[in-house]
Amino acid sequence: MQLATRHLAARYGDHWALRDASLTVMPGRVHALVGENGAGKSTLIKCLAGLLRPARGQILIDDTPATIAGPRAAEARGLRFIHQELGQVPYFDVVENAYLGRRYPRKGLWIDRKAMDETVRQAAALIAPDLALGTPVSRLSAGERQLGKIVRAFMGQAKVLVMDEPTAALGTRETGRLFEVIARLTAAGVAVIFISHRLEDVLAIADDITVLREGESRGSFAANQLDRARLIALMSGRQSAAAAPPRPARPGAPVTLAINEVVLRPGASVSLTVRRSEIVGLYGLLGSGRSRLLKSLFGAPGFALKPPADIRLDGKIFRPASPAEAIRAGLALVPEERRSQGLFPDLSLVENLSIAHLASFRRWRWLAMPDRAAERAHFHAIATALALVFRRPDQPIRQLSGGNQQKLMIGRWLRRPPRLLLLDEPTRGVDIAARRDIYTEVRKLAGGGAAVLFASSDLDEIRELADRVVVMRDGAAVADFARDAFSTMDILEACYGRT
Amino acid sequence: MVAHNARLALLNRYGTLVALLVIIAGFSAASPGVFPSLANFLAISQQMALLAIIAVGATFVMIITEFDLAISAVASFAGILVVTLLHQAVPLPLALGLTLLAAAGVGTASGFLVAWFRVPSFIATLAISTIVSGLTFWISGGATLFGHLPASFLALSRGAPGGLPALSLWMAGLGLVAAWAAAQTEWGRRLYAIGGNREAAALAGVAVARDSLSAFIASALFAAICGILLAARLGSAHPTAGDGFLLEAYAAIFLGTTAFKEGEPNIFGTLLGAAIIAVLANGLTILNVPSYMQDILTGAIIIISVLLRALRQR
Repeated sequence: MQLATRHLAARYGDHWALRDASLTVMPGRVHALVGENGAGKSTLIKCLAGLLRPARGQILIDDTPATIAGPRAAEARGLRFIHQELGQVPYFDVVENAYLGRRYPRKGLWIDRKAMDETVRQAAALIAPDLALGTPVSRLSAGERQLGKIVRAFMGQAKVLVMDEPTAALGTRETGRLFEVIARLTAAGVAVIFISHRLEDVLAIADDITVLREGESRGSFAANQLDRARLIALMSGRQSAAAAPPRPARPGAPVTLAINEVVLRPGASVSLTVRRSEIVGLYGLLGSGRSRLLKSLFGAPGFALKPPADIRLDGKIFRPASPAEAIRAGLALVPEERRSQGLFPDLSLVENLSIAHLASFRRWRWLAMPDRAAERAHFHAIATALALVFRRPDQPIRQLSGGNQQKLMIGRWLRRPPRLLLLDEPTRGVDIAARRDIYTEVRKLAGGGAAVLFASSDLDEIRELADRVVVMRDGAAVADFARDAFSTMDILEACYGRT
Repeated sequence: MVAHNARLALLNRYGTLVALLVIIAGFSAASPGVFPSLANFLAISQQMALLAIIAVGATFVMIITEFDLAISAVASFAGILVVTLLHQAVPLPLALGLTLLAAAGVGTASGFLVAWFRVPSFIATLAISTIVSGLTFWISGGATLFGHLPASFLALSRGAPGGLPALSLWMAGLGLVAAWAAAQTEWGRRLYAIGGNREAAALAGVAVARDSLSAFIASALFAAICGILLAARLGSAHPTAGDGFLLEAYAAIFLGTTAFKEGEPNIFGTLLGAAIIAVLANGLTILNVPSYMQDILTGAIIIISVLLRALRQR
């Protein structure tokens, strides 16, 4: 099936999120859709999914104008979607979530659970053979949940498969498997629309690439005509920025964080140090224990470490029992999942910013009452420093783009610059411009003396930001590379255990 | 376009207030001379006071997106307890203190179940409510307790200092304190954070369990004050005196979420909700509308307001 759009436009209220998008997706090919946040990619997808009615333009299926009235109509036409923000029912397992909104197989009066299991298992065998299909998704990691969504999209006869940031939460191994499956599907004639901020993924998998900018398609290209720099230039409308200036090494700086053989999981231990002003990247596959380590350091509920765990902050034993305690000790955590772990979607930008250091806004020390004027002044200072794009300080944060939300998640910790800054996937789903602002801010904090430990499954990010890389595998720190001593190969080999 | 949006936002915030004014205008036109008088407005403020107080307290629990279904049982319990203590010749300040302390204990029990053990608040507070009702009947022997109450106790609800009914003053005072606490203090801000995203609040350093517990205690204390003032007003206490407040309190809170803070429970919104309910009851009574019609109308108005809110959020 061939799917095309002609001058498609759509709006939310009086905001035109999509102005003029034309592209043609051919059967058997992977068509990547790239653009910065707010370029209109998700809006375009929503039109194809029947979630949003286009205001102008046409959707053509096999050269015939088509109306897609709703998600069911889209599914009936053979369109399958992996939405970036598709919700899952937390206490349903992968199988039940996969069947959400679909017709259940029946055996007389009963739902045929066996048939459900079997269908989903077949779909999962392609991409995630060891995914726990019977576990409530609330107990799965972000990456495993993402795999669950992909499995759902693989069920039934797909003609066009639309994937919005499918690899954002995936490790290298899962991404590799996903690409294998995509290759198999396209060989069978399925058309794939692939949306990603990860240009390495796009260049690795795409046959065709359409660039969106400011709601308009700025041309479609054969992927082999493009390289990374050209792609960035097309997306941003400017030449790609020069690589980050190398930061001076500080070998003699005092050790801020020292983790000494801390056991996160039986039979595996982590040892690492982060010095003052040093930025250390944590790289590892899905489930390697990176997020767990960061949460434990921060005393997150359910992750707090007990004696005899030997963690030292500036030389003193440090085992926070709660985030509040960690914050008092000068730690900050920007969590992995912005939406579920970071944002207060309905609260204002100001309220989202000041929540972690509320008590610092008192007018009188004895009265636990934040001074709104002081909060607002602080917000404007942070907004300027981070080049935040917003309308009003009291607008709910859900109205901001992902990149700007993420800036505020970091801005939250700038009231009292942290001694130790922990970042978990600091730029997931964030566009290039915002990413640059975030890196700048992190480097500035490090320059001011903060020790930074960040987890990332984006090798570009590791290369760009880290002074040193620690690789984790199965709950253990297995390798430690200095900036000028690591190559992509080294890191990947450490991940997969070929050391 | 921008002006249009601004107007829409204004309607979002103040639409419910406008609705109250429209209702008042309607009643004023329907019964001129009777409804729109200072005396009647003061009467309305007195009629709404107890509902407003109990609903304001429960608003704190709604802010953290939980329910406290024990409020009416606590109100009945507080009335019975304070009158029993006074009958035992316990001095008034001590009787009030002990009653509030007991209520705080109930709030702690609910809060503990919900905050530490993550028992769904609906179930936890329903069970607590049942236990508290049982205690109330136990203490009272199931009877209405009356007579032999000190004048200082009765004066809590009966005086009219400066021409303003005591109950209205209680409502105003407690309402202002609650509104300040919810909107202007770190505590209130943390409650909204918990309600907005529990996990994010925890990771931002909010002591989620402790603050959730405190919301239940606040709710129980306001319910107890409501029960005490009711007993003082009536000069008697009945083991089910507070029962009628439960649904009306949540009606007031839900009406209130449609005002001022766009979809979130807030104290002034709850007060506005209680005012709408009281004005309707008062106006319809003046117009001789039978009470069952009042119930139907009140229910319909709540549905309409919540529907409007749902439609606006589309």
